[in-house]
Amino acid sequence: MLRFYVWLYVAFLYAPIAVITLFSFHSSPSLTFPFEGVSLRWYEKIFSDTTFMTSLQNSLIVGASTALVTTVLGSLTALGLARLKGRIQTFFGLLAFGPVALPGLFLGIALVMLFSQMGLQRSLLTVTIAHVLFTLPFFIEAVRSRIEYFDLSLEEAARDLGATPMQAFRLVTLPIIGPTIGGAAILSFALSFDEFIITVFVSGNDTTLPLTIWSMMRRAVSPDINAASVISLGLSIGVILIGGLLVWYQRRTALNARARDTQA
Amino acid sequence: MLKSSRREAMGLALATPSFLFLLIFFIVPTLLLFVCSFWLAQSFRLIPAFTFDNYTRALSAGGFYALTWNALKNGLCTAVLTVGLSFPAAYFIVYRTRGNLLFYLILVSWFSSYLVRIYAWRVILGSNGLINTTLMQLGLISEPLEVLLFSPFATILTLTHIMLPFGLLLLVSALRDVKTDYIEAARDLGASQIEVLTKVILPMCYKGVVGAFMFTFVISAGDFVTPQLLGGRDGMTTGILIANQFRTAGNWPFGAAMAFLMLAAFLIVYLAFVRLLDLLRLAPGRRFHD
Amino acid sequence: MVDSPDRRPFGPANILRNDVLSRRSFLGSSLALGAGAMAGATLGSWPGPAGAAVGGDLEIMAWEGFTLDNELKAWREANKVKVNAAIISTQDDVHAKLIGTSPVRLDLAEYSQGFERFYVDELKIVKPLDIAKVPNFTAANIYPQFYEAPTWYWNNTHFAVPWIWGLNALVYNPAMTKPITSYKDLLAPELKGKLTFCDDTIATWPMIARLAGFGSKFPNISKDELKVAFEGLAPYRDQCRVFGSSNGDVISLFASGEIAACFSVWSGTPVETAKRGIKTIYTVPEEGAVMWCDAWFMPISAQNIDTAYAFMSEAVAAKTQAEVAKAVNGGAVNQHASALMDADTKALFDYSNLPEVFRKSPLQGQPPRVSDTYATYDEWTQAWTDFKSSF
Repeated sequence: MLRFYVWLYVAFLYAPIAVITLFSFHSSPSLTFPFEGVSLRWYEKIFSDTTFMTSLQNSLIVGASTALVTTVLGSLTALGLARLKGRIQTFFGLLAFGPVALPGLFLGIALVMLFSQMGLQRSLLTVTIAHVLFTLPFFIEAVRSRIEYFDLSLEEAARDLGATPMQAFRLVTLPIIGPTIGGAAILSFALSFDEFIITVFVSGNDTTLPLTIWSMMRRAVSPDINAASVISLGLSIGVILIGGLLVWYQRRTALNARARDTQA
Repeated sequence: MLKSSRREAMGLALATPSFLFLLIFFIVPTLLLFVCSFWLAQSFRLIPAFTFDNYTRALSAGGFYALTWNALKNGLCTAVLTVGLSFPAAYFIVYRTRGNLLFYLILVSWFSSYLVRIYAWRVILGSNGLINTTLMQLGLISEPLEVLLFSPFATILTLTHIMLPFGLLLLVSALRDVKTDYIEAARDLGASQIEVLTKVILPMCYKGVVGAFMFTFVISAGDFVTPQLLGGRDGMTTGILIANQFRTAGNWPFGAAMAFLMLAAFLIVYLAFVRLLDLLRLAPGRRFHD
Repeated sequence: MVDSPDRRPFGPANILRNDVLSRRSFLGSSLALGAGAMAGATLGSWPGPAGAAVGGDLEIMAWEGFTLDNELKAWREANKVKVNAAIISTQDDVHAKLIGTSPVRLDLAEYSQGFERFYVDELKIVKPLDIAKVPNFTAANIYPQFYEAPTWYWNNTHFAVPWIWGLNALVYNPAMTKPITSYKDLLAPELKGKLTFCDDTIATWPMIARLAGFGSKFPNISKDELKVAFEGLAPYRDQCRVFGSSNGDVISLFASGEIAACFSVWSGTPVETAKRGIKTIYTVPEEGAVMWCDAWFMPISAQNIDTAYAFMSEAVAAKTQAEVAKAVNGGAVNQHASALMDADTKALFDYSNLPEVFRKSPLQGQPPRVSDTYATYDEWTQAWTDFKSSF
């Protein structure tokens, strides 16, 4: 009974995605059954659309920059939080989670106000800043839960045995939390790739993929929007799947290696 | 002792860059927005002042209450549905499955673009959409069902669809803290299924449920895109009003004031929700101190 | 669009737009690329090309279908110009980019009549033009109704170049309703839930005033008259189920069969719905239509100035005018264009008697920004917002 319910739940989640994917291959512009035939015409059309391709490229750049900055800031913070105690830790934890506890709209207008007062022109840079703000809380939460399992005294034992702080980090800490950081970085990329609400306010002339899809929806003169949607879906879901597989593979090799070591 | 203080100093140093980033791009803008809500604007130019005009103007416009009520309704319905529908799924994942495959399958759908999902529902629910044409082809209806699209129903359905995976994530992590040992112990002491749920599981994952509810509520009540695209005539919400002030109408201080009023409304709902759980005796505090 | 060597070697756009991604493996390059993007963007925007050269990137903002994408293809290729066009959904999109202390770079943008004093005097986002640099825009080429008209020219200064005009009126789907000849027909019971309004104030406000009998007074009607006009609109609102937030939204609502008629909207709507396989009809009912005219202006943030001038001049050339008039069901401002048009395009408007066209569907401005006697622009906006949200 419960099992049946859960599969229904999953079906509900995936049904709209399946519908859009199906119609992106439809040979006619119609969005209704019966299905008249399969064709790639909407994909051909969308791939030759310069606005779409430019925004796709912009989204990849923003996503990669966001993932990079978030990973650096977030990893440092997560490592730092593990070393802090009491009120300071609670304060940092709350502060770092603040940006996701507010509606995106609120962050968007607050940032556009700041950029305007700073005289900072809206561009992909301001979009990246906004995305880092949005992804950082997720990154810190994801990495923190892993670090909590990790015993800090391991690192300190290495220090006592004469390792420099960098050596201790590189040889002890990083191999343990590395896969988690990689996974969280990919999470940041995917979140940034799909972010729309904050981006609406902080973007300048350069559009990102969600903005392009939004303007296609507002203009909606052609069904190639289905193809654009599927490409967007495919990229974000694909990146997440690849990331998940990488993390899983690394963990498995690490476990196997440990098993071999103990047997030997 | 020495080691511990060295450790803390290191921790502070590591957290500083993020702290600075959040200070500049989160705390300062929020304060700036708050200060600005007391300013005035004329033709897109901000005039520093100290006046409550924006707040009184918002609160004296009849439309503001109606739209805020729309937003709160969207948020409440979505939050109740999301938590209600996700809780059994989370329960199943935590207590009835071993692997994480199902969990990951659901989480992956979280990464399907927000806009695309809105668009997909528009295709499915439209007058010439999948549901209507299929029902008409089957001869079950003769006229398209118009309540499907451009109605609060469409907005809430889509928001729920968007929020489900995130709600599930929060509920699963909360339920994982409730170890099966406690549940078995309760069973051994003769508790029924329902008693286990209301007296053991719910109080122990109380924070997770409140968290999931509030997240879903805040994000969906503050959303201005879904209601605009799917809500039709009743679709206007405070979020759209605020967004319009910043994007088109150009009265930023007025928009800022409305944003803070909206946050105040959210806070009231949060307090009411916590109080409600408390009254239903699902909150842990009361039971443990009785 | 044409690719050309970017003339701003250090500009952020250049660094951000290179195609490193396609050539290297994604993950490997993302770090370098990310760092490059950040560094490049931090350098800020560098000045555009110095000297009087036509070419390079041209950032424009225009309505859908008005970007001269096809019409100026040859000119772009010959001059190595790459046009990046942002699309306007409502006129507000334009000034939203240009206000504040950090306007977004735009070399050219459009405004429709009524925005001139607001843009030039209040927002101060318009650069005065050196009209000699728009050689095709002369008294000999342009109809006198458009040349040096007060909507684009005052104080001996040209602020914008009018280039395309048309009429906004009713659009309906003949498969879903009987022919409509008057706005009153929109109140028929069979149109219940099948009507929509478009969020285009220029197209809609004059008609709202006209339906209430204040048409000739618009844009100067009193505050009480404004109230009466919007009260008179209530029955129309009750016919609607959804509000069209942009021209495109209205088009897609027609295409998906959600609506049968739109109150007052762009005359090019039938062209766009036809692309989606839906036939709609544009009609000027007995109450008349609303004239609009779009003009190119140079925003204060313009950088590629010479190319912008050249683009404007090309836009009002007779051949371009004839082609774009056909593409958007619009009217030409160049007197020599009608001779180059096909019969249908030419028949859209009576070019031989333009004064009569102007008399029937006058080019009306916007409500005053400040006034004690008349309803101001802000009051109209408020009434319009209330109308939208009281749905």
